[in-house]
Amino acid sequence: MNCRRVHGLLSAYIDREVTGREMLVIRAHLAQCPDCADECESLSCTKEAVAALRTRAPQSDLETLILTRVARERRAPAVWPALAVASSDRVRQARLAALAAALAVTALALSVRNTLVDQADRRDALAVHHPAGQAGSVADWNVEALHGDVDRQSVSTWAVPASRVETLGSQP
Amino acid sequence: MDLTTPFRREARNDAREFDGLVRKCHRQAYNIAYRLAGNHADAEDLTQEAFIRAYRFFDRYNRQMPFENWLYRIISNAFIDSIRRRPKARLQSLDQPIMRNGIDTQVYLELPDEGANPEGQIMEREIDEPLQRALSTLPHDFRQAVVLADIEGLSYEEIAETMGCSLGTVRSRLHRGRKALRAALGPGFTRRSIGALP
Repeated sequence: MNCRRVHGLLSAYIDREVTGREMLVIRAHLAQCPDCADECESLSCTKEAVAALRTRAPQSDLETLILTRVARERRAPAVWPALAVASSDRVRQARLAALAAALAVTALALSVRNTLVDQADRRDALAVHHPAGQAGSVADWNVEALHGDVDRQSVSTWAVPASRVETLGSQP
Repeated sequence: MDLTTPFRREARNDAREFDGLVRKCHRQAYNIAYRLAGNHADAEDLTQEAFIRAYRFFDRYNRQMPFENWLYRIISNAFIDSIRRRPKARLQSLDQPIMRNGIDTQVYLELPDEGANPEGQIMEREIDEPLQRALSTLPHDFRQAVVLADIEGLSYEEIAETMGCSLGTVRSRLHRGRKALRAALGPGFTRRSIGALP
C-alpha cells in the first residue's frame, strides 16, 4: 500500500473502521514511513481535541421551554384530538382498521344499491320490450335475465312459453 | 360505548413517553446543536425545533433504533434547513472588528463570560473557542460527520444512517473534515494544547 492510499485511510484507521487486513497493512506502513506516521499523529490529535471539548449546557431552562411547546402542539388540534395527536404503531393500526371497516361497509352498501338498481333496470327493460298482455311472465324472465346475462336485444326476441300464455290477462 | 377511549389512553402513553425522552435527551441534543450551530441562541432554537419535529412524527419513530440517533438525524436536517432559510446570513469573525457601512468601528465581538473559574476561562479561550470557530468554518456536512463521530462517538454505520448517506461518504467526509479542521486550527495547535483541556 502506497503513502497516498494510506493517507486516505488514516481517519478510518484511527477510528478502527477499517478491515482487519487494512489495519495490519497500515500499521506496518506507519512503522516504516515517518511522514505517514506524522500525518496519523496529527489527525489523531485533531480527533482527540474535538472529543475533549466540554459538554455545553443550555443557558436557559430549555427542558421547560421544549415541554411547553410540545404541550401547546398537543393541544393545538381541536377537531378530534384522539386522531390528531402523534401516537404509537398500535394506535395507527387501530385507526387503519377502523378506516378499513368503514370503507368495507360503504363498499357493501354501494354494491347492494347497484344490484337493486340493476335489477330494477332489467325489470324495466323487460317491461318495455314486451306487450302489456305478457306482463304476467315478466317476473320469471327477470330471474333468468339476471343470471343468464341477457341483454335488452335478446330479451326482446324471446318467445313467450305456451304454458304461460294462459296466464295472460289474469295478472294485475 | 366511547370509541375514542383506547386512542386517548395510547395518546396519553405516547405523551408520557415523549416527555420522558425530552427530559432525558435535551442536554445531549443541545450540545450537538451547539457544536453544529456555534452559538447558544441558535443551538436553543435548533434543539426546540428538533424536538417539535420529533413530536410531530413520533409515530414514525422506529423503536428498534436509539431515540438519540433518530433525534440527531432530525437535528441535522433542522440545521441544514436553518442554513437554507438564511442564505444571506453574514458570518462575523471574532478576530475582526465589526464593519458598519464599510467603516471599521473598532468594536470587536466577545463571547460572554460563563464562569468565575479563571482556569475554566483559560480553557475556554485557549481551546474551546478556537476549536468551535474552526468547526464553524467547516462545510456543514463535514461538520456533522465530525461532531457525530468525535463528540457523540457514533460508529460510521450509525453516522451513515443518521446522515442518510453511504459508509464511503461518511469515511470521506470525516477524513476531509478532520484535515480541514486541522488546517483551520493552524500549526500552533499541538497535542500539548489538548493536554490543557479539562
